[in-house]
Amino acid sequence: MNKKLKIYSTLLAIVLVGTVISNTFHRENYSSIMREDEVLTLDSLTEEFGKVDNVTTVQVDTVDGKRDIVCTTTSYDVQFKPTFEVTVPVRPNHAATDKFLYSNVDGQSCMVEMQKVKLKVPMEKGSNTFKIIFALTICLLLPFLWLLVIILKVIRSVYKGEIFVTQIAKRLETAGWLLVAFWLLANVVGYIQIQILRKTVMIAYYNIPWESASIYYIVFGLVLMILSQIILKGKDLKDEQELTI
Amino acid sequence: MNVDVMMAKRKMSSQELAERIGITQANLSILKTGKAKAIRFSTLEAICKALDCQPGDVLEYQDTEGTEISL
Repeated sequence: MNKKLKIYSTLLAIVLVGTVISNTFHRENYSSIMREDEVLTLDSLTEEFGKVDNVTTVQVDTVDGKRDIVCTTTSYDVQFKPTFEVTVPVRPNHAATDKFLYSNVDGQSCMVEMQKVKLKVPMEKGSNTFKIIFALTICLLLPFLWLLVIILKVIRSVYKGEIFVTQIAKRLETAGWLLVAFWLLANVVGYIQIQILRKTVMIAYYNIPWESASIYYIVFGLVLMILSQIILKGKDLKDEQELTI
Repeated sequence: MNVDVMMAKRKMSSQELAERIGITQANLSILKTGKAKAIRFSTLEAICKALDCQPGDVLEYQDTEGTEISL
């Protein structure tokens, strides 16, 4: 077996197993007991959170099978003077007891815990800071543009009937590394952005934690790398076939 | 390149040999230059028949960098 193929496959297996274990560990103490006909309505938020535009999903997690202990909701729009928009994950530093979800089934109420907040922050408020955030976000686009060019070239080659060629294998391998690089870059940029936001934006009772970029960038990148090695192997077989007289 | 030697002995041109074997001159050239990765038994049989020789007359083992068998 090709050495690179072995390495990439092993890495992919490690990442997938790690993700599964991590998810299992993360969820083992929680179970959702929300009923299908149950509708949860949100009470008004206090002023520091601004106006609630829409609640895209309401997810109820429980501890020890009791719904009224911990509840979580996602995706609140928080408006200041909207000129710059960024969605950040938040983590409460203590229970926000003045916000409730109400159930239509039994009239029970439960505490709300926000997970993500969409901030719309005015550019003039610390404009340099947000220019930096904007510039960092643009930096993230560069690997994606490169990736787009590579994908277009691969598609063009495939349309020409050139599949098992070294060029496509190299391009796919580059695309795989680009996705891994993007994951690393996204983490670095995300960390810097969060650090800047922490200094600039204060949300009462909530912290802004740093969250790693999606692991699926690495998974997809490794899959592309493995595919590139398979194409190289295919190219060898094709050459052998063509040079059999 | 023993094919060349046998061709010279039989006074046969590349074009004629290629036609008799039923392969293109380009493929015959690949065989003669040792670029071929493998040879079919049917091709070898056709070469031996066309040149009136044994496989050993056209195949020769050479201990070069990357061991290979050339025709």
